[in-house]
Amino acid sequence: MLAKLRHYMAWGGIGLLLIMGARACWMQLAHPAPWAAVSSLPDWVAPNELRFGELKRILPSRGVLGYLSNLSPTGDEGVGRWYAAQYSLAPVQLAPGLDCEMVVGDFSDPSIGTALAANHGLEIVRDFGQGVMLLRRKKQ
Amino acid sequence: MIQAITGIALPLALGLLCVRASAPNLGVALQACLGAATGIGLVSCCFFLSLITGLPSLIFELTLLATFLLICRRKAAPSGVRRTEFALTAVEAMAGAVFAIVALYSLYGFASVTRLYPHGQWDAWAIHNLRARFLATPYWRDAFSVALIWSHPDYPLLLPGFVARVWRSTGGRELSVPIATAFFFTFGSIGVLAGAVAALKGRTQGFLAGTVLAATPFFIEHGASQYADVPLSFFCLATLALLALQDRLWPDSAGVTLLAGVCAGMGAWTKNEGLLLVAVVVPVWMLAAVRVRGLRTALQQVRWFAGGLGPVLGVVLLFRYTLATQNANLGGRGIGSLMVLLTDPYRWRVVGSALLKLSWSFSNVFVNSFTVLVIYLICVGVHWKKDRVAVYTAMGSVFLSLAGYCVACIVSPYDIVWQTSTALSRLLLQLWPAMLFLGFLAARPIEDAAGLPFQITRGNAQGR
Repeated sequence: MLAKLRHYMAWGGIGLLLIMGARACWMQLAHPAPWAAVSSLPDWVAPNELRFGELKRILPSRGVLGYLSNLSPTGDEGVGRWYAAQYSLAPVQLAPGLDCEMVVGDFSDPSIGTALAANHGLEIVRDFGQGVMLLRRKKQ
Repeated sequence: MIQAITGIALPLALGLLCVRASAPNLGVALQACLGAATGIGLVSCCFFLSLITGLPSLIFELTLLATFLLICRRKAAPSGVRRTEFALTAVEAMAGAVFAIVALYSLYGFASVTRLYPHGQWDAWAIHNLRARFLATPYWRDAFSVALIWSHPDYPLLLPGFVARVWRSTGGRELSVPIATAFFFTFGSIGVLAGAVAALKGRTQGFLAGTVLAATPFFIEHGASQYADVPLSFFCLATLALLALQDRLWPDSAGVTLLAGVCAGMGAWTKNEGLLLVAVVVPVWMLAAVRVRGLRTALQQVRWFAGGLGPVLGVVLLFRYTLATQNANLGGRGIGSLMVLLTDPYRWRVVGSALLKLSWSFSNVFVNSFTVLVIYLICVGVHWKKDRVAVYTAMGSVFLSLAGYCVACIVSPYDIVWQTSTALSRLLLQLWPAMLFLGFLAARPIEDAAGLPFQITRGNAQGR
């Protein structure tokens, strides 16, 4: 009797693993990246590679540039955009702030970039579109 | 793409030769999975040494390659090598088919996530791939500059080092390199788990173990997201699996134990948490081996393990003293401030409740994966008489690592709720393949429990 029960229980164990496998297959098909969808911020990196592509081509292969954005560098989105810009422009380093002679402007709304740069005493060297600008400190 | 493939070929050859030289008795699948990961780790170590010394990485790699070739040539063909029996019983064939189907679906899941996030998710691009972009240039020291302190310059270099090494040889920044690396570790973990359990408990059990890991979408997704937690989980699993294989099948093999030491070291070269793995595995394994095999045997085996661990740990320590910045979680704080956090009951409560919630929600497929494993063990029963050293080692290592992770969360300088909500699930993920290995190693072979025809192989024959 006990042996029979053990036998059925073992088959129950196999069945459980099969159901788990089937359910996981369904999940992979229906909702790839289910945890990313609920827990992560949007993927800025792939679009950024295109946005910053032209700027990267004209930058020197090494150096430190300032970084100006309309988003707070302490909020999730501001931090994410800053890190993503750094990733796209590496090995050039981005230091948030305006201490450097040249500054990268990264604006979520392209229309406010010019005004924001002017407010910080910066002039536009080149506007690459989509909110990406190369800025320079205005000569006194 | 072709350059990337050739760039990856040398590390793979190096790893395969390393595994072949140290553990020629392992099955082909196990050798392939372990070889790929070991090769990635060794090349990364060579690349780091080349950065520090200014010598080309190829010199270190070719020296290692020549050494392994020499060892392989000098080693006489091992007597009584276990030939892989390819004839499967009907039950094994069915379990194999289920495993293949689930693995294919997980491959689809991996590809889907990769398509959505080709650069990986946050930690991957903001830490490892960013560092690789610096290391691949002549200005690699800038990766450790103050301006990039947010990118955790204290993290070890296994992943960025390997990716940068291949990028240097191709001259580009191909996304295929970190993606391929993530692929090797994700599916290598499934291969090592299935292979090791098959060698110890029979093929059906091996296929079932592989099926459960492949049916953990949380694991597959994090692998495809290029997070370092999956490579670390690989090395944690490989260390425990190799120690178990050595203990049962080749008790006199120095090579398998040495390879286990290399894998433990590679864990420490992947993430800081890997150092915790080294710190807990060695004493737990030693205690278990002393208790079961006696002091003399245990000491001899620890010597072999140290032979593999030592050189890799040396590289990790060299990195710590030459390049790494202070760890943001633990560094720069006195014992007093750590004790204040450690004795705060609120922080213990937050971590405890987060752990409880997580053990209920971890990789929730239809019920959570832990519950599935526990119910399975209750259903088939346990039987670990011949694997006592391996089971005690895995159990102690998993438990102590988990305790260590909890303490690290409690003393974290960041908001405790944020820390536990963002880190704990991934810390648990690092141990998940090892937990599955422990579960299936402890479980009664399924043919035995379900009264099915049982094929006697060397591994399961010794385990019964």
